Amino acid sequence: MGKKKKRKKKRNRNDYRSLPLEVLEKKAEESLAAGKYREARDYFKELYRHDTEQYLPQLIKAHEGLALNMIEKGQGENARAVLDHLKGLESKGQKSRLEFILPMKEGNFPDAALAALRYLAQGEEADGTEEKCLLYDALVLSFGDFDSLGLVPPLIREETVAIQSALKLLCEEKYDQALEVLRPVGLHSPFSHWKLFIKGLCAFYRMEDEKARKAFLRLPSESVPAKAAQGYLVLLDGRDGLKEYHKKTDLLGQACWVAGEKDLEPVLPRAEYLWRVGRFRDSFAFVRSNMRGFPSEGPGIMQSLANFYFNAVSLMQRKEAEKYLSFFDKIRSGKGNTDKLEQLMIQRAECLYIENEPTYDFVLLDLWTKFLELYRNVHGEESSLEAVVYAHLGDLFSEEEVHCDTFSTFFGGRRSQRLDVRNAEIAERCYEKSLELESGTRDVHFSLLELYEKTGQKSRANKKLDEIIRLFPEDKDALYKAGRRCVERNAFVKGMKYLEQAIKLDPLDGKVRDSFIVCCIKAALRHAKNAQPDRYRKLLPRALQQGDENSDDFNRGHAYLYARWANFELLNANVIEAEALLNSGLALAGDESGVLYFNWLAARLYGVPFKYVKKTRKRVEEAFSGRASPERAARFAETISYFSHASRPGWLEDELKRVNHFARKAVKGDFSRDQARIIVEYALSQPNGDKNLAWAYVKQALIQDPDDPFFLFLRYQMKDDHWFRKRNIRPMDELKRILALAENRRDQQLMVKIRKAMDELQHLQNIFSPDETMDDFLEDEDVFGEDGFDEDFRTFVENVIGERLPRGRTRRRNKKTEKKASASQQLNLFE
Amino acid sequence: MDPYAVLGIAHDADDATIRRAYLELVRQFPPERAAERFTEINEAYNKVKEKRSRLEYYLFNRETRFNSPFEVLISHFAIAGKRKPPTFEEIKEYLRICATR
Repeated sequence: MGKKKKRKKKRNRNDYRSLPLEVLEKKAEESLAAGKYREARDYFKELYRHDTEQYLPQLIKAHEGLALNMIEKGQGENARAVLDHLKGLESKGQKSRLEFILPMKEGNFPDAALAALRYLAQGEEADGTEEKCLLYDALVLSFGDFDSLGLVPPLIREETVAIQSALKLLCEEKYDQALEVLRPVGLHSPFSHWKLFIKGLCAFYRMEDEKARKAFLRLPSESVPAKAAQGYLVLLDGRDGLKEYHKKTDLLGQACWVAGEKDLEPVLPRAEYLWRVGRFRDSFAFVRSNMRGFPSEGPGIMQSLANFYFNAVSLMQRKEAEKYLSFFDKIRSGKGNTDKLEQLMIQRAECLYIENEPTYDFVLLDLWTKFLELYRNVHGEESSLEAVVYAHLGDLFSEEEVHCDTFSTFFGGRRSQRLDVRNAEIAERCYEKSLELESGTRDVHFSLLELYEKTGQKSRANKKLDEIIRLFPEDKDALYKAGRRCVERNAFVKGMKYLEQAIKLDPLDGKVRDSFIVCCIKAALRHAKNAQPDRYRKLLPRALQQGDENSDDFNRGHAYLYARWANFELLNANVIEAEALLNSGLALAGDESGVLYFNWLAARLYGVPFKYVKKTRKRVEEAFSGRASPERAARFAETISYFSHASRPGWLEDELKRVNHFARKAVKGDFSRDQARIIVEYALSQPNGDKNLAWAYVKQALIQDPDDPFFLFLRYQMKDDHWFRKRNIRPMDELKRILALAENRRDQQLMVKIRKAMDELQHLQNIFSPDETMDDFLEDEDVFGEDGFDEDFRTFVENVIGERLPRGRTRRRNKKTEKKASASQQLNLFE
Repeated sequence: MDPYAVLGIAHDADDATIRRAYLELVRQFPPERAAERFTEINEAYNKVKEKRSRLEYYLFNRETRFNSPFEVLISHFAIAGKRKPPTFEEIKEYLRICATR
């Protein structure tokens, strides 16, 4: 100690002396309570001089506190000096708990146990619960050395042995027996916290997490079991808890130990800290240089960690990802780096990252080729792996890109859109290379077929399809695809053959049956137009066989098949047969007007002479002029929607107006939710969308059920920000409310759409400067340009019909993530 | 999540072994009792059930369900079959280390 400090100390001591006793006592108590043990010790020393007996316990406490602080700081020798000093004080009648705590902290458990026994033998009682716990912890932790401790009170011996045996049984996974052994340890036993701890451990290893957590949280905080339980709690709290724990490296180290990964204890906590504070590269470098065997492809945590570090790049923002990758690059090209596996993993990470970035095709191809070379160096030749890589590259290069000519839009013209394949030539080469390496991969054959189809190479596509059928004659998908292609080429006989084979392989596949029926109808229509009644009369029963008698499906339903057949007969002037067939259809229909209207529209589309359909026309007009019921309106809407997907002759526009008018009249009726849904979807799917009709139904549906999430979401999409502002509704709050309602009704599809809308809204809000509001943005018409409304409306229609229309800048469509048409979606014959 | 770890199989396991492990886990965690776990097992199985899917997983998996390295350990440990108590000697050592802290 310096002279200055010594003088200061002496002056301070003299200061204490000058203080009145009451003030000194107050200051001493305050220092002790605040954990300022050195200060408290000085005050109590002074007080001790005045009254030895009265102030001895507090003086010992201050010394103990000081010694414990020293132990915490790793100053064992200083702590022992304090203990020796304490021994001098104890001879005057007081015992210190440090006698057993200090050896325990130093890892000398036999001494700790002996001291604890001495403490107990002299009839001393520990001050608080925590000290009492530590006293008995010292006994438990003596483990095998128990007998050498001399005379131990029988009850303490019995319970210590019970705890130790229970731990042993727990380690042998004999949980029931462990709990049984603990039975004699009562609730008020000084070992009860050990019992609770072992119970928690049993629950933990039995995967009863909640029970384990409860037990661990009830442990007295300073006891050894409580400290041991911390590691378990880290694992139980899982990922959420890490936000809190990441700075506590000791705890994380314990968790490593509990997880059975002792080797990670010195590395992972620090790596976690570095990662959490955003020092990603340092975290990786720390693991790399301190963890033996990293990176690894072998099973276990090492491989999972390697995956994490090398895949993490796709989680990062571009700037960070690029820094991370350039760091990888430095490692790879660093002097003396001979770890080929690491190089391979870096190469893979780079390839996967570049795939999602705008890059030259040859660069991407080159990176993957390099990866394959490295792979060969590390693992040797593996043709199946190479085939997978080339197939993947084929997929990448055959991705479709939507090009939008924004230039013409700027000048007020319509957006022109082109759909291009990224690089058909390389894609084809890659697929071929993949098939060369592994010829029997069905998916690659199909991908190549799809590429030919996308690029309009019809003859090559047909050849490929024939090859697929030859290679995979028992493959339903191949037969189905082949069948559909034949239908597209008007090769109906061949198409029917393939589709029939596919039906035999999977009679329950509605999609295949649908295609077969479509094929039959198309063939029948051709025969009907060619005046070959015998031929279509043979085909239509086959379609009926695959159809459903009571279905409302326009392709499969028998009622509609009969209605079509009637028209084929009319094309051949067989009026009587046609009437009989139409009557059969009407007899099967729940609501005649729907089938009648279908028959009428089909007749017009097939070109049935007007003289034969006069009667039908009259009946249809009657149906439209009668009472407008929502049920009928929904059926008409569904029927006309089926036809309006086809080419749109002029007369269809009149029909659409007629249906719209009828549906508008029906809005006053009592409609069901489904009927409203059909009509709204119909109204919005028309090219010029009848927003008024849709809005009338949305409004009415919300009067019937104000909490219907589907209609609330439609209302959200149809109304602009001003509408909500007038009603004091914030769009994001409204979306949150609708989402909660959709969640209650478990409408998964709607939930997805709402979340997407929320993301879009959030994104839009992020774009604004803090001073700018959404209103300012919406009021600014120039932002959307002349077709601003169309753009809104397009989004709206997309959300309703569940498909995304192409727009904006170039986008890639990944066939793997593209939504597949549901089986229930009806194939439209008139496309 | 590493599908091999989820299924508790080695990386060089063959199709039959993988299927056996999958069926065993499905028996242990049927969808009506442990829907989340079942989905996880199913997803893992689909990723490694045949050689081609295993290669695709090896080559193209970009899974980063974790936000930090320690989450990897936690998830690794959360998989069924991973919770095995330590040996008696190990737990002794662990408790004594905790006592010195």
